[in-house]
Amino acid sequence: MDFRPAHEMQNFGVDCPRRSLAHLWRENTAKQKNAPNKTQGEERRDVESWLAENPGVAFKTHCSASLAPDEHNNNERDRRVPDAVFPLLPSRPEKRVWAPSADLLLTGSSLLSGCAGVQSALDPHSEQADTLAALFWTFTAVLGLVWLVTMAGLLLALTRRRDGRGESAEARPAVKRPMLIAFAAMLASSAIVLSGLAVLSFGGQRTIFGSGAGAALTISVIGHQWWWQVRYEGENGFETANEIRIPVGSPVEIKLTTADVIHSFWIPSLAGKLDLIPGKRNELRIEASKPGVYRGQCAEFCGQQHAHMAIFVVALEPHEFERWRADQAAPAKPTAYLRKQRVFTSALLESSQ
Amino acid sequence: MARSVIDVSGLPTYAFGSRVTPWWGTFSFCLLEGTGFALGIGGYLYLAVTNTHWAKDAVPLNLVWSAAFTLVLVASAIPNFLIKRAALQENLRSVRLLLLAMSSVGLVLIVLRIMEFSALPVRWSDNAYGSFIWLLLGLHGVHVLTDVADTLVLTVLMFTRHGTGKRFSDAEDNAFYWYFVVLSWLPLYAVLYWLPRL
Amino acid sequence: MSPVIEERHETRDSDLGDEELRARLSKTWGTTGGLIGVLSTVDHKVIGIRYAVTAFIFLLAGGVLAIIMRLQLARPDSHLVGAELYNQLFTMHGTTMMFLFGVPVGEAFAIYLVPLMVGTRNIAFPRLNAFSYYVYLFGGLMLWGGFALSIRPDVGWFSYVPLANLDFTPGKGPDYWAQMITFTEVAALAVSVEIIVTVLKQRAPGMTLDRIPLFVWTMLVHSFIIIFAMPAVMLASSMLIMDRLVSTQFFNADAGGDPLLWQHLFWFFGHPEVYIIFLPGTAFVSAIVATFSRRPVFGYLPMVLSLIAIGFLSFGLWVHHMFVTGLPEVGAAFFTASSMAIAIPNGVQIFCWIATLWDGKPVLKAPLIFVLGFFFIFVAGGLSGVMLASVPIDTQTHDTYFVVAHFHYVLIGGTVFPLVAAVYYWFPKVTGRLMDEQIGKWQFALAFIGFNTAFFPMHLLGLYGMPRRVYTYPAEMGWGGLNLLASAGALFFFASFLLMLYNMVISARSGPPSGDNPWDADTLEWATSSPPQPQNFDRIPFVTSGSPLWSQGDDTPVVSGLKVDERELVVTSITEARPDIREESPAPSIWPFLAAFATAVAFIGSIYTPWAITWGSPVVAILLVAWFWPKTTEENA
Repeated sequence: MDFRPAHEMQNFGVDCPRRSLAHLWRENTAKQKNAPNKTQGEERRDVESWLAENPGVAFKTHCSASLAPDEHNNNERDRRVPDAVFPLLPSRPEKRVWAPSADLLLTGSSLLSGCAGVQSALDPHSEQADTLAALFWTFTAVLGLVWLVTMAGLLLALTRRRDGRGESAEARPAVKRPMLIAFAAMLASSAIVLSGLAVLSFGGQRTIFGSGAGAALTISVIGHQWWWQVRYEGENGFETANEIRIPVGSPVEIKLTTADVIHSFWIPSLAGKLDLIPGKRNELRIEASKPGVYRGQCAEFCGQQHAHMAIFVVALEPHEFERWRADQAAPAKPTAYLRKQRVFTSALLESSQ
Repeated sequence: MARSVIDVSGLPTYAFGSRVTPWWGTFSFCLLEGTGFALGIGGYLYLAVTNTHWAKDAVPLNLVWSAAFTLVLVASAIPNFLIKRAALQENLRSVRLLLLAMSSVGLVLIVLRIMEFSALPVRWSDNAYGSFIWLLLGLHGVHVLTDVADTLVLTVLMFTRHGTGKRFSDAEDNAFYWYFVVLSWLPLYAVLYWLPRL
Repeated sequence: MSPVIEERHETRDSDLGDEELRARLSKTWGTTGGLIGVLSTVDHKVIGIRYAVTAFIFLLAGGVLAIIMRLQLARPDSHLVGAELYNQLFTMHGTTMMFLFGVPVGEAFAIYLVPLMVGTRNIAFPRLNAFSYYVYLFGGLMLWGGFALSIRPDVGWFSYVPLANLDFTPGKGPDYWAQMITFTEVAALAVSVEIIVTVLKQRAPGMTLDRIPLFVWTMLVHSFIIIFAMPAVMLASSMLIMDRLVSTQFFNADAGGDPLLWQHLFWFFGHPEVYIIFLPGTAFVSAIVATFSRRPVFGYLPMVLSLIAIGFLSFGLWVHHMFVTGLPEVGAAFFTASSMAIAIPNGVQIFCWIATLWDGKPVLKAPLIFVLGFFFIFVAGGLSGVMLASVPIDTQTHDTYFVVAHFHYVLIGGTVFPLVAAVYYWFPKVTGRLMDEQIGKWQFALAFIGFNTAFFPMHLLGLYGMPRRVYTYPAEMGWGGLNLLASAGALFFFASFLLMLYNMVISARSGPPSGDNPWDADTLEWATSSPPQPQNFDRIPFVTSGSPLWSQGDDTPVVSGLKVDERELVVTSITEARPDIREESPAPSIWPFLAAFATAVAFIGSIYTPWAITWGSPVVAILLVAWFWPKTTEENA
């Protein structure tokens, strides 16, 4: 087995776990600037060719065109792609490209629609996320109606015609029969609504607690402050960081453990979140229904740079995935050493060689 | 002047048991401290169930000092009952003697608890099991300590000019709290000393 | 005056005329001046006001932190405050709002109002009450003093281990946090004991169980929730500080401990905590809805049963904070069901209030307007809570801005709006002057629009994938617009509190005099003068109805026979409120202050050396003996 990238990880993750990430950004940014353009260009070309070979892969986004490797902006891709895949780099607004895409126009005001895109629970790309989104909308519709009915009741209570608007208080007003009926109706209907929602919820629970049997691929994800170590299990296993590639259409078993504090693994477009807890092994199953790049980030506060602990899931067509996997499993190339310091900045590039 | 419908001038200025406010105060404190004990035991049992190393960590504790402590503690319920009765009868002489007896029993219990600690086979820093043993024994020890201190102060009071009237109600209240100290020990004793032996 | 009484120096209230009685009682129950007098007072009203003022200062402080956070988040990739400071800010914001504002402000109103509403002259165990205030004050001062000295907790108000362990968070921040918890919980527990005993044993004769005002019932249930919930967090925070300071292993997974044990203990407290903060809000709503509808709240019995049901159910929900820790399926399902079930008693309460408004003749004064804001916001928050009760939905929304939106809807909608209503409502009782109604309406507009602008977009942000507790986010995520909107709303919301402060200051100075009962309300606190005399009631009322001031009119029957020159009050039986004992209420004393001070020194010292507890305890013990040692005939507690 060849755990090449793991070795590289250790350089960063274990030897100096307490280095400030802000420091690392600066270092990485400086390195990129200082590195000979040629080397960078070579790496970038790998991505370009990879993207060209995978026309189906889209960086899902509606409102943030800078993430979209849009055909009209080929010349910008070099700068855009690393931003998309590298969660730690501070973005450089002056380089952002606002390419008005059909998506953007269709979505209308990005302010109100927000970014139902690369990391959105409302933009599902798997069966599980579909179920969760459907459940969410059902709850929203039902409970929204409950809210409206309550507010209507309140409004009527305040504005309804009254016999006389006298101000004298009544210590013992008569309890009127219609009010009792309304009370009974309220009790019964809330019990029915809640039971219905609970049953729906239990149904949805099955997608989360489905068994791990039959998974085509098992991947261990180990949380670190503040990065993700990804280990492909089995023969010819290998490791990556902050990026998981999976084949489209087959279930993938993710084993979640942590090397330090509690983290939470969350790729909203594919599945709900699950914690990584010391002394505990949690298992999550994901299955992408479409090729694409899905962003996620740590959802449990894990210390200073919690905000920057992002991860990308790249869903590939099965044959693409197999090819990539075979490449990963191949013995190390000597040039790997040169890039080891840059493992964070170029997780995607790193693994697409 | 407003219409008076009840004249309370004939009512007593103190009484016993649940008629007076201090009893309810003590009762509330028993509730919240009892919750603390229950949660402590709950935490202990939670680890016993979830932790795979628990069986290895949970070395049984020495039974000698704890048995002595438990026997003396349970036996102290008798003088405690007698204090309560003497207080209700406002019998100053009996209350004084019994409080002296209870104070000495309390001091003996503190010594026994110290011996119990010294006989523990684990330190609090060895593992979570050790931490819980020390926490629970300590938590109960603090209750013993505070009630013994309370009893000592009350004993002194009873030998001064204040040993009248409402002080009997206080003595009764103190006895009530001691029952809580006794009762709260029994589940702790079972869990700490006997559960790991099962 | 009868010569017999003269001889025994035992003047009874029945011996005196109204004016002389008032003067004599107010001397007996009054607080003396000077620093010692101020620190010795045991008057529940004085201490209640101190609690409220302190809690409001912490509210403003917590609000300032929130504003700084919102400025940071207003733009993507912002560098206004760094990660380190931001983490300290949200930790302090949550901690301050929960422990130094949310819980104490409810206690403040209970301390001030419950004795008045049940018709007694002081709270039970008034010295314990004074002690609790100082302990709370010292706890808050310690946390914020540490903050000023750069000893800043930065691991969240929930301090999850192992992040809060020494390995990952060296420094004293979490220790200060944990000890502050102990301080404020000691205070809250003490107050709950006082409230429980006051309600059970010191009600005015005739105030049977079914004549207890809903406000008082709510505070009783609230106190019982505290009694059963707070020990969990005290235990947990003590275990945390022991793990950090004396190397115990409670939460260390490598030594047989479990980080999830912390979460269980913390949320066993943490969910009831929500109701501890929210129930006082419902107490305010019950009082205000009744007064401004001109009739008692519809469905007294269902209301009381709902409160009790909420009390019980609040202990069966804590695991819904842990749905994504990898629970067994059946366990998760159980907590989904219980979390949804609590919507029913809450729904009953909402229904009963609306029914009261429906049946009554609502008068739209500032307090009721804020209560209407409560309905709008709290019901929305409660319903998004039903969503979070569903495990599948929670896996997407947990720890995102959706949850931030939800609990601000519940806590601000459920507690802060009623609280502002309560300030407008009881301000005249406390100061004798009415607040400005017009400013109140402007304040409401500002608060309502500001709040919804700030927090509604957060629902969307959470669904669009924005996690909580991130100090910044990349521009590419597209969260910038909604965040900017939220930040703008937050500024408006904050401004509404400054407006209230302004209103309080000018009204206290020059507001129109209110008289005893400006709203023509029905509960006993309005039978006292505004502000009330130190003795509260010159003659203890005899209660014959659930709305005594509406049904009894001016011909209120009273109780006679209490001593005038000693602090005597009537202790009654629990259910029937039959007069049983004339108990002596403790006089002012400096010892509670000194004991609280010594306790604070010992606790703070223990952060640096465990021996502080060893040498601090005897000092505290001696002070407590001094506190309880009787002086001649007076009683102490």
